[in-house]
Amino acid sequence: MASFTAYQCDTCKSLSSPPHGFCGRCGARSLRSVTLSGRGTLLSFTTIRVPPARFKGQEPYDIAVIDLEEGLRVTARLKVPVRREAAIGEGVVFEGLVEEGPLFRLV
Amino acid sequence: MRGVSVIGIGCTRFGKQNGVGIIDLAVQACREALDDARVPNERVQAFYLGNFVSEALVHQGSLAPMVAYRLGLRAIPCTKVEGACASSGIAFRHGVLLVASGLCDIVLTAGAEKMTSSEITTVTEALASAGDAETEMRLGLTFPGAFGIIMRRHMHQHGTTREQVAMVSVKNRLNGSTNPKAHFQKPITMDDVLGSRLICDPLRLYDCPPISDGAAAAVLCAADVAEEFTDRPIEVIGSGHAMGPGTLFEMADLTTFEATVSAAREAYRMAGVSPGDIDVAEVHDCFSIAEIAATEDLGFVEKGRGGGAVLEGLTAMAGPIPINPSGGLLSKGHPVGATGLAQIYEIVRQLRGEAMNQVKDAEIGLAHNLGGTGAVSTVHILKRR
Repeated sequence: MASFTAYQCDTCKSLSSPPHGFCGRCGARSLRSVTLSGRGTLLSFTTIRVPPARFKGQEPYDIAVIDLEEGLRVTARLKVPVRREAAIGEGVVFEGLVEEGPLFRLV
Repeated sequence: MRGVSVIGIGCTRFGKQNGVGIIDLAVQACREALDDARVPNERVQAFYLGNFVSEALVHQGSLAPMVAYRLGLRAIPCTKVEGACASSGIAFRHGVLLVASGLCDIVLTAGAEKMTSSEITTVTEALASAGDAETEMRLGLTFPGAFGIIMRRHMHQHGTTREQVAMVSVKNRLNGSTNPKAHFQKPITMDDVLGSRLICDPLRLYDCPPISDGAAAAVLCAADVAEEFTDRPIEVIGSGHAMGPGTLFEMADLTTFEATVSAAREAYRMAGVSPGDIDVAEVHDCFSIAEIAATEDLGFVEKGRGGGAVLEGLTAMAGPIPINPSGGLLSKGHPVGATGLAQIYEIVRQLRGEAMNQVKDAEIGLAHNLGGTGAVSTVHILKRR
């Protein structure tokens, strides 16, 4: 399992990812990178069957909104094995960064 | 603030309009609105035009002055407003502010989009630009995809059923079947929706609006000047405009659009009315699930009750709160930049008593426009004088 890097505000402790140079909640500029477990659960997801022009040929592919166990919410690509259906609440783990962004897979 | 009235409206047919460019579409709707208002060109003091993707799809910028000049207007400020699918709700809002401020007596507002001359994947990509390119859209997320995610969550969190969501499409396609300006004028059944192909699970083809060309316009006038032009002005009694997160991962609740909730709060407060006072509403059904969320976010029913409400007929023409009598975006079509003003067009017709699907004695109407996956919303409340 790959480690998932996020950013924590030194002032209000809120987590964010990707980084923006300051805290999106309180505006403080002092952030430190933290390594999260990469474990989370599926809040919801979909399968894209009609992609935008530049993703043509990749379909179908899955995109999910995931709640990481440290409290950060992220949108990511989701790898679902063939002949297997994902379900809301199911556990996922971070697999790594792909060209399109973060990729998670079902536990 | 001065009172603001709508004294003229115009709307083109929505659908595939071969050979008619975006400027001509906008000019047609504006001409109809100015003629309806009996306002001569020289009395128009400002022009706001809502448009989202004309640069990406038809390579046309500078749209506001181009349209105004072609219309015969001269020497006035012309502004294009972009707020994704809420572009012309915002154009209308800014027209209202300009008249309410006392700076202008008469302002023309319009919205236009030309979409059918592009390939579907090109349109999908252009529309996706309303999302966050650096986080979600780089993943290959689309607008139907975002609403597929929202729909699955709504079903899970509130027990909303697939049939309840499908009923939105069935209801709106029935309403639109008598609207001569609608893109789709044929009713569909529950089986048609449930049997249509998957686009972004669990969202299917008939949960989506058609890709359309179209334009709509409204003439705004200071309430104390309106009688010079018409004996049936429609008053703008509430105007709300607010932002929300533009991404799914920043939504506190995937089934609630904060922009809608905030805009509605402002509009209801300004109008001094509550959701129960609304006789008819045009809400932003960019997907069937979006109407269910809007019905809740606007306060017509409690959160989680939107699905039940549509299946029980509460939002049908004969129900206590008819929603989308025009057929909504699902039937009428969704030329994105024109949608907000097409909603105003329908509400004004309802309050004048001249709508195709007339809600009996409608006195107060509401128009709700949503941009992106909830990045922006406008809510307007109109009243018969």
